[in-house]
Amino acid sequence: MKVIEVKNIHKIYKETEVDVHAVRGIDLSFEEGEFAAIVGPSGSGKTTFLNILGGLDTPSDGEIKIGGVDIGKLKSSALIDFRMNNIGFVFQAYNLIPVLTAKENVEFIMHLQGRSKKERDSRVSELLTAVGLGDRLNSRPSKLSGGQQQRVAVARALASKPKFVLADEPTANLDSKSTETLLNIMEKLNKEENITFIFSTHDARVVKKARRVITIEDGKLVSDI
Amino acid sequence: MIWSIAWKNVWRKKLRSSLVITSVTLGLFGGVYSFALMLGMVNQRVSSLIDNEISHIQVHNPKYIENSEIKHTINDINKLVSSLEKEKEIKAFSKKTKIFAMANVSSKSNGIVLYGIDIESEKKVTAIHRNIKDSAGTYFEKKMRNPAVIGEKLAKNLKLTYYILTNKTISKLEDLKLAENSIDSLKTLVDIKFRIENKFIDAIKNKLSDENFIKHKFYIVKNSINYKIGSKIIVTTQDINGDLTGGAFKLAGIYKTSNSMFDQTSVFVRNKDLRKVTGTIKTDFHELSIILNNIENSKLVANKLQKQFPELEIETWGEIQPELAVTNEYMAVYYYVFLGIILFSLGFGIINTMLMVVLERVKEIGMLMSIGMNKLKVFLMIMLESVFLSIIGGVIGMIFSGFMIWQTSKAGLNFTEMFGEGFEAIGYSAKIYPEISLNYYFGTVILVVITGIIAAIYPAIKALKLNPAEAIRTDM
Ligand SMILES: Nc1ncnc2c1ncn2[C@@H]1O[C@H](COP(=O)(O)OP(=O)(O)OP(=O)(O)O)[C@@H](O)[C@H]1O
Ligand SMILES: [Mg+2]
Repeated sequence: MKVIEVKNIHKIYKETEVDVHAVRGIDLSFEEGEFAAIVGPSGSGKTTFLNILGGLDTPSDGEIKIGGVDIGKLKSSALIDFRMNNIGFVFQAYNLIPVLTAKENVEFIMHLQGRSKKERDSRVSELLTAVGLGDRLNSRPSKLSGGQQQRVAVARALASKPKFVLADEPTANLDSKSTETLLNIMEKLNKEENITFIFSTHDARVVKKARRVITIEDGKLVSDI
Repeated sequence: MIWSIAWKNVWRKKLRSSLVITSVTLGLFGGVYSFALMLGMVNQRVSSLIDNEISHIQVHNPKYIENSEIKHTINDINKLVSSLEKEKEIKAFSKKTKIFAMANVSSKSNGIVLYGIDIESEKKVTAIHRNIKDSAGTYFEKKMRNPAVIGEKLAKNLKLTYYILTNKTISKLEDLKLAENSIDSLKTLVDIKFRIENKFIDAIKNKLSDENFIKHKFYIVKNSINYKIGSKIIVTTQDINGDLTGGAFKLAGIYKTSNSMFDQTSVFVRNKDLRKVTGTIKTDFHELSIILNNIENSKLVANKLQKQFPELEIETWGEIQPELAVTNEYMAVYYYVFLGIILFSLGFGIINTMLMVVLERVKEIGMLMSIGMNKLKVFLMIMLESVFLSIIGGVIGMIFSGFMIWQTSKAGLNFTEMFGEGFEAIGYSAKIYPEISLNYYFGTVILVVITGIIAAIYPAIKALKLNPAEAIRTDM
């Protein structure tokens, strides 16, 4: 089943001097259960494209359907709720609320969704155990390593039971050991739970793990293997 | 969850938040405490006026109010009295003659209001008998012919005072750690009688350094003053027929209220003595003052009496001194304007802090909006943080103010030495017992919360304008 379908996506940043045409007509679709990497040189438009996929930014032209819903037609407040319920996000950094513990960070999004305490409690410890942090439930982000923080972010992204998880360079700030751990966890979740992951990266070792590699250059799709 | 995040966010920058909280605390303390002083001062003035001067209700012949002539007495006083005696709400009343006169002592004279009273009933109605100064005679207790009780200010005007510095006063100054050489030079003044206050003060001034003079002047004068008890005061007035008459009274006691205007003009003598001078008869009274069990019932009782005695003018304290009756409302308005100004300026500090908060957390707010925190919740989060900041400061400030008010209200704050005379000239006591009522506390807390909310609006709008994609991209 197709989770995402994008047609002829363009993004033009209107700048004072010259307009930046960051994405120039991308057509793509993603199936449920994919583990896809988006690669390309710096400035090629990866972040821009992922932001559009995630409904964080609006394309200048084109159409995005997520689970059959055309998100270009959603009002901004509806879009926020749509993101909350359908898309999990892992950013490069600043993923977590510093004043909350790992457990509370994961729980937070379920709170926003209005889930019951019972449901929250069981899912939160399940997820944090799955990312190997079952023993760090009550640690604040500042007490966790960068790799551990990103694992909490993955758990947080999954807590809302999204249709897919978007991760823009999730390993960019991590050392190779933490990168491997994080990737293995994502891979395992993908295989065992059939979670769809779409992530961008520069890192060849990360690319190796991907089952699908989408290459963007200069805002255009150049290969999709 | 939003509440708890907001609360925890307050403590992310402990120093900065503590500074904001401290400024709110101090701002409120300054405002609340100075207001409590003012309220205490005004309320003391109101109660002093009621206790010493006007009572709760006054009855007059309406003609007397228009034109205070001796002949305009209260008609049929006996009927009124028997009515008053039946009224349960009335605690006490006092009938008096009240005429204008001139008091003369040797070459000095002063216009006065002469009250002819019945001592026992007057004691139940006014507090003058409790305000007789130490070693300043008594309230008609000592047997003498034609005794008169006058105010301190009048005594000074009529030169019924003299000043003697005693060794006892000086030994107290020694306890106050006045330097020995100053003590020695002051001792040269001991037992010298000064008739004029300024001469006495000048003499002290010559003996002391400027600093010590300013510091101890008030104390020395206060303890050196003596009154010429038993001195003759000649009173000239009109008799019941409008002819000039006069009589001699003897100084029996000196009282002092916080209103020096009143003290300067109000002279109390026994009605039976005054009748001999004016030729009035036993049923001639100009004023009847009433004290109720509860001042709140003044209007009720006055109305009731007015219906019974339409030919008399029956007024409550609020009608006699309308400015007093509205004082409380004025004070409330004044307080909220005053507090509003303080909170307005504190509000800027909070806005500033909250703007910094928003700027520092652009990425975090972007992340929160990305993962699905809606605008209302972002707004609420920022607003709550601001409200917490202000309310913590508010609560500490109120508790601190409350504590200080309570502490100082027991003994009162004594400003006598600083500006006693100035205060008393306009009817205010220079010893202030700060007070504040609980209503003000609730009002303050509500205003503090509103300040927190208003201060959060601009920063919160800034936060809401963030575009999540941009916010996350922002370099910090
Ligand atoms: N907000 C913006 N305003 C103007 N231009 C932008 C903006 N965001 C991105 N761009 C430009 O769009 C182009 C694509 O940027 P983007 O960040 O999507 O690339 P990227 O592939 O993610 O690069 P990197 O690998 O360095 O993260 C770049 O030329 C960038 O300068
Ligand atoms: Mg990028």
